Amino acid sequence: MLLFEARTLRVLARSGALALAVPLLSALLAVPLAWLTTRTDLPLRRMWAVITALPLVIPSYIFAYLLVSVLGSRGLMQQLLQPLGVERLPDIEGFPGALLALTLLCYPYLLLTVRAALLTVDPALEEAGRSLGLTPWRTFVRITLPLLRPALAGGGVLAALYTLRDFGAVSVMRYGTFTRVIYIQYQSAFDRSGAAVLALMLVALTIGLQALELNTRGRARYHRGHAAAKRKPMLVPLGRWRWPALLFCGAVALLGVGIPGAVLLFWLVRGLALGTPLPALWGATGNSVFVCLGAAPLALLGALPLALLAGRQRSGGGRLVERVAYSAFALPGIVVGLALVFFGARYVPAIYQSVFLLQAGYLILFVPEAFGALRAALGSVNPSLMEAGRTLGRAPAQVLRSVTLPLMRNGVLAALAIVFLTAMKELPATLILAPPGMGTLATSIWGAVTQAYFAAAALPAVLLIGISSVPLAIFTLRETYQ
Amino acid sequence: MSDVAVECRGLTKSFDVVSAVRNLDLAVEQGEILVLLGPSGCGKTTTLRLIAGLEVPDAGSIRIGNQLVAGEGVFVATEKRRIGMVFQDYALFPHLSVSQNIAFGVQQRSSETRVQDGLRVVGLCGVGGRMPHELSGGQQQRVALARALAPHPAVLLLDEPFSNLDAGLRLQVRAEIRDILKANRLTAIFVTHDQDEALFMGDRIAVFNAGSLEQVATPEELFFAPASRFVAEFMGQADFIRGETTEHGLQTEIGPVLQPVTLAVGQRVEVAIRADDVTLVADPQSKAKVLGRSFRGAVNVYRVRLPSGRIVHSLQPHTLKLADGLLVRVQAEPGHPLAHFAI
Repeated sequence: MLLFEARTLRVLARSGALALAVPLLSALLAVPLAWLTTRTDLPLRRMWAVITALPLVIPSYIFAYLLVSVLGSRGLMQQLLQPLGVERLPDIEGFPGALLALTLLCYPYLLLTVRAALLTVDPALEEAGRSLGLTPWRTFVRITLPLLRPALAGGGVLAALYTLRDFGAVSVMRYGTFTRVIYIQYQSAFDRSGAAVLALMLVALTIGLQALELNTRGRARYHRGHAAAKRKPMLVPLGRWRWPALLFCGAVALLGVGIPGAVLLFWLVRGLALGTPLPALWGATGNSVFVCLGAAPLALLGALPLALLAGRQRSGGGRLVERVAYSAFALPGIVVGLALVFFGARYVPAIYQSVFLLQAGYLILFVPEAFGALRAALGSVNPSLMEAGRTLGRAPAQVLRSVTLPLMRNGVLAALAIVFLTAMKELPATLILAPPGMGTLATSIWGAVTQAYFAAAALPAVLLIGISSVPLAIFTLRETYQ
Repeated sequence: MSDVAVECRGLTKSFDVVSAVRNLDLAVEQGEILVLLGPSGCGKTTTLRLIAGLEVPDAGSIRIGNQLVAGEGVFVATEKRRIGMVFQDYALFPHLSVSQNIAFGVQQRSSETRVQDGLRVVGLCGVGGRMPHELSGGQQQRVALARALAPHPAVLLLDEPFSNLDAGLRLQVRAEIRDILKANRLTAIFVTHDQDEALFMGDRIAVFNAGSLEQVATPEELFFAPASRFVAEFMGQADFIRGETTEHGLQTEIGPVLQPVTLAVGQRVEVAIRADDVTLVADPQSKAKVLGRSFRGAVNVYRVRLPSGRIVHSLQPHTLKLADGLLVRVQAEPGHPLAHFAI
């Protein structure tokens, strides 16, 4: 049976190894970074905090392609070393390349959760440790680190989930995890049940992880609620250690942001000089923006009733809605794409290979994200405001319109921005579901990258990052303005 | 009965397995301020929310005026109950101005005059254009009251409305709000856990304990004739000493007290005694001992250990000074019947 074939088990082993190694390596980067930027007198702490979180916005296939174009056997690094007689660098494709790319993409998840936890740990706990005779280092190991356990677990599971769902980085690095093998099977084999079995295994894995994440998240919230920091902790003076600390931050920033950025610009300039055909990109850009502008409000409309239902207090049904909505978050894009292709081809041939099927895919993929943003916004609205509206003679629907929605406005905008920029980046479902001939920025980048035509990938990559950061920038500016 | 504003019968509500309100009977008369008093988790806020229609009762019925609003298969939605509510955290709409907040529950046609009336009643003319966060805590409190009153509700519900104000402001605001309620002959139900506030605000007080009513009475009755040991204890500053009923009153370890009793003669009782009921006389023969004194300005309050080991307090003029460790004779001279409970 396919499920237990040696090949299937190899795929499982590869995915599992990557999903374990990425969070571990990420933690090794994230914990020192988080500690240095929150608890020490490291120069330019805020700048490092912002820069080291930036890889979050780079799509994995672009990031992996940039790594390959630099560190690949005949990449830029080899060209630099050519005069020294280096003809070939060792291959980074396979596990090492996938590990490096995904770690640099995933450590920000851990960085953000650990930073948040460090900022909310009550400094009195650490002061108590010091007053009991522990050195700063022993205090960190015996008191701070155990307090960070929920944050580490939560962030680690997020990183593992990202790794399992990722299609771009593993494909560029030619490492046969579930997503890549599923895609190859789907493209090559006439019988698609192989892809389906693998997809089911993947979903089982991600939903299991998601359940784990929900549990750690619950604990983390509890933990923070009771240890809210009232004072700022005293900063640890680094002294001579300042220099290695700066070197460390600099190295991570260089690998995660500096080199990719510089290389992208390098390829862009070279591509423009070579005269990359622009008309093709106009169409792709238009398609991307058009599809994603449609996806954002759709996902919002889908998520709003769920968020309202989940927000109702003391209802077991609400909790169930919340769980289901979040576990849909675990569905990898490639699985959603495949499922809709099967479904569309068999039951609704009218929309098969049409843009509606792609929109349906985005709806399934992004409702959970919009739900998360809306749920958070709704949670910050004081429930007695809604009750006050009722006691003043307004029916529930009127209260929703005149009180709840106006107060959730920022959350609604955030949800729109998040869905827009994730949809811009989305690759596997778009590859599978986009109608034939309808290229988007993501698919153009992928097409160029798979043929190692780096110069042609650079322009759409810059366009994609530029366009998807517009709503983010507007939103961030609004927030600081308020 | 047209003079009953709110009536609850057999009201019962549980959350999960915890029962919050058990078989509660309660009536509020027109123009009356009824205080629901009790420790936290006793069911007083749940009762208020049941009357407001923010919770659905498991059993029992609620009438507001002559209208059945809950029970017997009926459930009238909150917005149709003609109630006004003042929330603990005020719940002013942060995206609306003070005027818009007050006008929220009012029909369009009459809103301008109602807003002006409302602002005048609570003494806040001129702040209508401001946003809620620009007001002080006391002002926000009064806006919340004006907003609740603007639609002319049949009954006003107040859920610990003063608990977010600091102590000095609280005394001032509660006096103002009581004046406003009385001047407009409003019916109000007021929830608090503060017995001092209850004594001040209430025409009558309903004391809650673990989801049931212990006693409903005027403040004076409650203070001088508590119906249960719980009420005596909760109304504050009572010590309990052992005793027995006799033909003419009570025999206690600090002597006899002459008063009418209804219990059978020879019944063992606990007697509630407050510091102002107890006198002290220095007496080297006595076995009661002064443990300490706390100075309260005009008076001294002494803590005395009786031979049985029980502690009583005694209120004495500041001119009387008794040293710690002094032996004293303790006597009860209450000038009113003492509350006592069979054990």
